[in-house]
Amino acid sequence: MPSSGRHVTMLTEGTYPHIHGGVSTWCDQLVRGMPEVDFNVLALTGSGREPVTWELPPNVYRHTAFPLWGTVPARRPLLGKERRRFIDVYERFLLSMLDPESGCDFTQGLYALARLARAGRLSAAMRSEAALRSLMWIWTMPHLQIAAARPTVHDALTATDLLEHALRPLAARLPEDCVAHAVSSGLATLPALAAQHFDGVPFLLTEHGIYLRERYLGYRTGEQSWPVKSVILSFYRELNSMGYRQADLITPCNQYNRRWEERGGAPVDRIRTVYNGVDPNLFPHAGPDPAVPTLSWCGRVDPIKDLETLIRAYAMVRAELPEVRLRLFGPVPAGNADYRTRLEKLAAELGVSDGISYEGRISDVASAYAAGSVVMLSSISEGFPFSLIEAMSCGRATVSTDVGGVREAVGDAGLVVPPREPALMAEATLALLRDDTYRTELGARARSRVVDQFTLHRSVDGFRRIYLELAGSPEPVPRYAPVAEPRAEVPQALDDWTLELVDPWYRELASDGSVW
Amino acid sequence: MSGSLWLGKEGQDTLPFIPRQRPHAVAADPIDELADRMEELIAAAVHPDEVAAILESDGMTDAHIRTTYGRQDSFELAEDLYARVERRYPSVAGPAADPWHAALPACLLRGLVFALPGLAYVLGAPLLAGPPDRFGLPAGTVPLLAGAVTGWVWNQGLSHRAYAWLGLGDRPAAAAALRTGAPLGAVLSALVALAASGPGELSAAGFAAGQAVYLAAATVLLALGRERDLLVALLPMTAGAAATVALDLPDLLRTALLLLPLAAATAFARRALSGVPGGDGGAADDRPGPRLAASVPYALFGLGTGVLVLYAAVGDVFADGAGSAVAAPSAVALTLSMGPAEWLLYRFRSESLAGLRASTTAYGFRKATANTIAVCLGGYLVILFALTVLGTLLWPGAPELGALRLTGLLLTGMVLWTALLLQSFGAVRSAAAVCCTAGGVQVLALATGAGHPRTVGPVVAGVAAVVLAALVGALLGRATAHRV
Repeated sequence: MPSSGRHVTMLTEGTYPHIHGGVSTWCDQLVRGMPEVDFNVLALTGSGREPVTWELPPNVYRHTAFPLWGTVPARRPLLGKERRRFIDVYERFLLSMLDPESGCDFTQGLYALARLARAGRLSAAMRSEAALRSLMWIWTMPHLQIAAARPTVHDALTATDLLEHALRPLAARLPEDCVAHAVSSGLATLPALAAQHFDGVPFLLTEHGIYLRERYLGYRTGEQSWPVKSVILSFYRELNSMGYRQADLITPCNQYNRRWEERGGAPVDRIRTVYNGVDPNLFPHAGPDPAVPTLSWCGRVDPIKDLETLIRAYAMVRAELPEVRLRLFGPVPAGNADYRTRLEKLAAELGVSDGISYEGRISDVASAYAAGSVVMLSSISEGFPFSLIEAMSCGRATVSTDVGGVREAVGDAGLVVPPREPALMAEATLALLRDDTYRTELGARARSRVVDQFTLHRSVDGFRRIYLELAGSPEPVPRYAPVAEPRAEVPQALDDWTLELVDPWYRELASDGSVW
Repeated sequence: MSGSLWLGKEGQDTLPFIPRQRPHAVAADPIDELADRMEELIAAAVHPDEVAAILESDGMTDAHIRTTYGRQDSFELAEDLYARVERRYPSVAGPAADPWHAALPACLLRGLVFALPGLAYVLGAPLLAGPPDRFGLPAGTVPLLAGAVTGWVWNQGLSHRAYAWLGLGDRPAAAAALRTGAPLGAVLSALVALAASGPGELSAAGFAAGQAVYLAAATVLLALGRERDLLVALLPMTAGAAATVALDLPDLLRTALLLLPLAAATAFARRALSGVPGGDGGAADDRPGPRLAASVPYALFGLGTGVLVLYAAVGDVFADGAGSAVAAPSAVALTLSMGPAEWLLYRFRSESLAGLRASTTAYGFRKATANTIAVCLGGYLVILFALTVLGTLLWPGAPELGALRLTGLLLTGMVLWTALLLQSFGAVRSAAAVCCTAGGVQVLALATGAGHPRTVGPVVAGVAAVVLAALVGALLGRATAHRV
């Protein structure tokens, strides 16, 4: 049954609708933004018993939590000819990951394993002693680097188990008339790859963070030994590349991510950037600056946000302008208490503790941006940060670090400095604090930039068209243009004027007069 | 940004720390200088892209890379760095975690609370006294055994279900299972005891009902890890039983000493259950939970081992009638030895895990495992032997400990330990099948009068031990059986 573009299976891993965070927010926006599309959410989770933390709108007609852990129903192990055939397939699959010279093809291997998984036979087969011995035989081949690491039986068992759990999603079936939309690379693409291969389901891949890079960082100091890490990361690398090669369309949330996608073998003509969007109505212009000059920051208190650089920069700013305050909005996630202590110690060493306040989680996020004369972002890694475009939507001038898609978001409507450079960050911040006109002008420019290019409406609309396009439906809008190549789109934005006028935030803008 | 199922292990500790540039170190080649600073990270990397990931996570942008290092982007720089540093294969940081570490005192405490309730029979003996029943057995034997076996089987299944929920991290569901299951089991075994009681055995049926309630409460306390509470509940009775050696206690006092632990254990169990927040019990929603049928083999395993232990204790009585002595020291030694047995099971698991980590071939692992099994089983049999000898010396009026009885007991011990070993590795079906068959054959021999328990016992236990040993060898020599 061909897809109509009005039926989408959204594939998530460890995010929506079970966990809060940037990707989940994005999923929620997308699903709510398209009430006319029926969504089937397939969420890869740990045990399958995680609670649903997002309220699912009525157009999510089904939600399935697919557990990667926990026991699988015992099935008869493969015997005789079946077993020999499996071992042959499995050894080729392993060789494709561990020995690039072997000429074995990962893609064909994965499809063969998917066939077994769909018959419910893969887990038992992979947990067999024979499969374990295959791995031990292959990775001790003297010409492979991994052999030099002297892998043990325990390593083989661990690696096999991790692979077995990771491959479980191959068994998940998708409706044949849907578009499969994986909202991250990696394991979430497994059901989509199988559905595309066996049932001809169109496969859309969206990346927010860079999945493979996060796996590299996650396993780097992990508890796994070198051989295990090598096997698992080879698996992720090959799977990632396969997803990039096979996806009918890849939609990163910024241009910066394309670097990894192209490196992984994604065809350039199948990558289309669709920026995250924000509802300018929910983040209206914040009005006049606070009475006391204040730097505001909003996010999770986490090392990846590099708050140390922010605090150092703040100390330098305060040396020049002693009345400036720094307000940090956002929760300290479980396990990050040490990091907060470290920050407090640093502030004390710099003698600026009295100027910094930790405001914790707040419900009205817009007020966090309103609290700042300048909104700061000091992260060392970002995709296309919501906190930045939200602050811009509030008409605040921003100083942010040049990571991920930040430069694309900010354009000429804010200041961008290199990461981990407190002195440069302080210099930029002082420039803004000392020049009220410049600051106000940047703020106004930021808001109009968001309204022009990064509205939720535009982002959701981009995906609506992509779904229809992938489903092969006739073009619903006569003049289709690439969705989020900002420069190329100015004429289209004007063409859409009459359409977009119906949106409530345009009324607000019209009366506000700050945009045109 | 995108979530990961291994998120719990990630976070701040995984962010690499690249030592900052030392101001005085001016290298001729900036890439060499960077390779030097990142040496450890690069040496342990599995692919150049891992180095690129580390560079980017440190905030290094392509613009910076082009101006400082003259490379096009992080990938090109990473490839260069990866090629300049020799690979090293660091072992996992810190001592290997041993998930099977078990504290010996905790295991001994469990053994103690398994064995102490047996003293209730000592304390209650005068209350049960009466003429031999219709089978020529001491009064009350049949209802007591029927109640005990029913309760034992039920509670083994129930414990498994509770542990299965706990294993899923769902304490409320475990508590809900216990809240429903424990009283149901108590009622069931009390009814079975009542149905099995003959004329004039009402007091035995009453005693069996108390035993049923105790077993239910103990199951709750043990599943929720409240062994200490259980021990406290049993103390008055233990003191009373000890006193009977020197004094003849009045019936009223004996009854009170029997009822007190019963009331205490029940109260503790209620408290333990009320401490767990109520939940939907896993039944009200469609999230997958353990299947009821999955607990059945565990119940059958309880049946098999229960019959084996009871046979070792009262087999002679059934064969020779009311005049013969109950082999109480055997039963006490077997139950007490369950504590060390449990500890040795944990030892075996942690030793075999060490074997997995030390071996690089399947053959090497098989050899190491065989060695460990021999040591642990040998250790268990020595402990059982010592307890039996000690018990026979201390117990007033214990039957003589002949070579045949001792062999039978040690073989039964071997059956129990190897069966527990198989059960702990998930092979509960085969363990239950062997134990139930062995127990069944023994009961059948008793019922038909084919052979005396003194000879039937050791022979049946011997055959079962050989079968179980073969199963252990076939199963546990495989590395895949040792998944953590």
